[in-house]
Amino acid sequence: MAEIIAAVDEAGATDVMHDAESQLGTQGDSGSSSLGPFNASYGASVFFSGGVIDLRPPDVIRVQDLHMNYSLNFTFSFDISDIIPDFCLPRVCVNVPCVGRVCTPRICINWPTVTIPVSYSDFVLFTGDFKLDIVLSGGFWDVGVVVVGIPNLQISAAAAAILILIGLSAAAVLLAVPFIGPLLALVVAGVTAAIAIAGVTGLLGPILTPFVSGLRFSVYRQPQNFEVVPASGAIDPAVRVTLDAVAAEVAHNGTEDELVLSIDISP
Amino acid sequence: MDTLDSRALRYTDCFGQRFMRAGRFPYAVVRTGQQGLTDAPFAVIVDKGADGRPMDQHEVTVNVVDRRLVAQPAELRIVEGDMVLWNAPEGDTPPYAIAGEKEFFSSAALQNESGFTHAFGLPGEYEWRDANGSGLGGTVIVRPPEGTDTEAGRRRWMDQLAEGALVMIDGRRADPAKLEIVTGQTVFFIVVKAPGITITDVRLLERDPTRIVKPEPARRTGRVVKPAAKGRTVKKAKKAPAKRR
Amino acid sequence: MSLTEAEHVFAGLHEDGINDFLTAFFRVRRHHLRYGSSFFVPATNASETRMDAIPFPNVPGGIQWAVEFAIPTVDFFKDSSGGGMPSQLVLDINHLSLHTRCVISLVCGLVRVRDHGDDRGHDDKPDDKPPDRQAFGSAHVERAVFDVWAIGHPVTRFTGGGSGSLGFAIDAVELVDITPDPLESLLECLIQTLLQAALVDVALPFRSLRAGAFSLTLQRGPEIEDDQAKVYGTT
Repeated sequence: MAEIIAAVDEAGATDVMHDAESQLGTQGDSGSSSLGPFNASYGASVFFSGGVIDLRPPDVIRVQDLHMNYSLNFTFSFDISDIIPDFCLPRVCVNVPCVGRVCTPRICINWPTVTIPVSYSDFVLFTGDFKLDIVLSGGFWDVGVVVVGIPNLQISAAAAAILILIGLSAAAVLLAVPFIGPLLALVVAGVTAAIAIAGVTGLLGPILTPFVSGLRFSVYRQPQNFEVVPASGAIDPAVRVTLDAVAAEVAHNGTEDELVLSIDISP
Repeated sequence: MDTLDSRALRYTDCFGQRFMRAGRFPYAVVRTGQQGLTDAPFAVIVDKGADGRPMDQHEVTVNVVDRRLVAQPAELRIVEGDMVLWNAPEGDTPPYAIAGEKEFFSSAALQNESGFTHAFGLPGEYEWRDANGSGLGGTVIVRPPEGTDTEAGRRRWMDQLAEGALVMIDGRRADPAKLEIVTGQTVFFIVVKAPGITITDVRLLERDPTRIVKPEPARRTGRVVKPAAKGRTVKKAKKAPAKRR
Repeated sequence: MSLTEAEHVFAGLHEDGINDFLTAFFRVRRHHLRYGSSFFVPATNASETRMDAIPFPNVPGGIQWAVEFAIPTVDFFKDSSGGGMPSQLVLDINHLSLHTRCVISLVCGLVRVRDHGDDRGHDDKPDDKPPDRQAFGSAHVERAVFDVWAIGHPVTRFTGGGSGSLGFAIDAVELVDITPDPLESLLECLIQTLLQAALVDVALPFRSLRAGAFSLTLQRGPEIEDDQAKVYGTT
């Protein structure tokens, strides 16, 4: 029998997992990707929360409805000339009293390249199977749960919302472009049609998937040289033991499934 | 901000000048803010013309060639009474001014028989004033056109763009002082007579460009009238002419 | 039956584990097991505790003494001693036994003696009192070693928020093969008193006893059975 045995049932394991999610904190990433026909540069931050544990002996921990909370900031640029045809002000004439007819030449408008910033925050629920992973590294025992495979993320609703947001963000930026106002709806429609839901999905998927691929939560982490009692004076130094071995399993005991840690120590 | 400033001509602006006397009139095309006229490589050559002849309009384009602002044609031959209109067709031409050797001939100080046109690209209320301090000013209200989310609406709008609006400036009066147009339309500021004015958005004149300040009325000046000595008639003080700032 | 039973978190510490903890504790804080007066312990340090000598008239400097315990070995219910525990002690559920060795030492022969056989010709004046003599020649250390068995129970001290520590209380001590019986009873009383006092400062945090695994707000226990100290609670 191991010298120390610690166990949690599914309710306890759910709390342990929530603590582990908090410990993992916020992950970040940045880079560039495609947004339909446009290039986009992005920054993303993700943190995990929630979820309900289903322990499945001998070694699977299924987390149902794990929240993947994300914030996404991206910018993309496009030349308005690529969206709508060239536009020219016609030759304008007025009759000036006592002078005669005065006309301006036809003036063709140079559409600029505009950069559209978009910010979006949301969460996606997913269910994933995790397996136990025990590592002794850097003087620390770490028992973690690692996701098996790559969970499927349902992002279609988010993609639709982001596409709408792209239209709104583009409209806000385009309003500052001279002469674009009456053509704004045309440009926004052109941009959103060019990107389409597929373009947003093509952006969002590759950004979010790496956060869940290889996802690992640490459910137990302690130094191998474990402090039992801290020092409390010159004649009372710290008391330590060595954690010689750590094992973990998902066991069915009696009528319950439990996550069990077994630890052997030496003085 | 849609920049309205006759001192800094952009590709949606035109400067026009009528030449009422024969002669050779050299000028330069200068970048806005450039100090001093060191060289006037371009010229308008005005030949004598018959009285009552209708005015012809001639056009000069301003381009950037080898990083220099160049008028094309460099020399333009016209007849007395004709108008020359300067415009830069390329959108990336930096803001510029037309500076003639003769004082009457300058886009930064519009005098008699000159004009400035501006196509307004953004909606808003544009309060303009003479940057040279004459007190002259006015307002252009630019409204977004309606119904442009349809093809028919956009076609109606394009038809409106062909209609110009006219502001006549004579002395210190702009007529009309307040004008309403739609986005994209062109306003012609025609200067019949003026001491060298500009058409400049007041936001460009204030320290805080977001604050719009109405132009101050010209100040009255006069001599203090002392009480007359007994038996003398007191003459009413004459109004002194307004000082030029 | 599940480990967690009606609660959500379980931690069990096997008796081998508690002994590893006690060994680690007393190796670095030996002074909790070794006490002595100045003759035996010149100064307090991590290994030993200096105590005052036992004052007694005409014993210059008091009675010099020392008490030392070996690192105790704990056995949780059920009895794993293989018959070693004296039959006078019975290990019940939720109790533990403790086995150690106790060494008591004394310095003997250090007594001030007055020499009354040489008082002729002296006036009875205060400044003419005869001198005292101190007998040094026979001073030596007497040492006795006792095999000590004890029965006790765990003591929990709570510090709030479900945290606390585990200690031990001694309920009875049995010395093996001491006669006569009154001497055995006297020594058992003395050793139980000393051993209990020595163990008062042994407080092992709950968290440490499960090596930091999970979080546990104690709701039940510690219960001693199956050679384990078991605790139950919530996260």
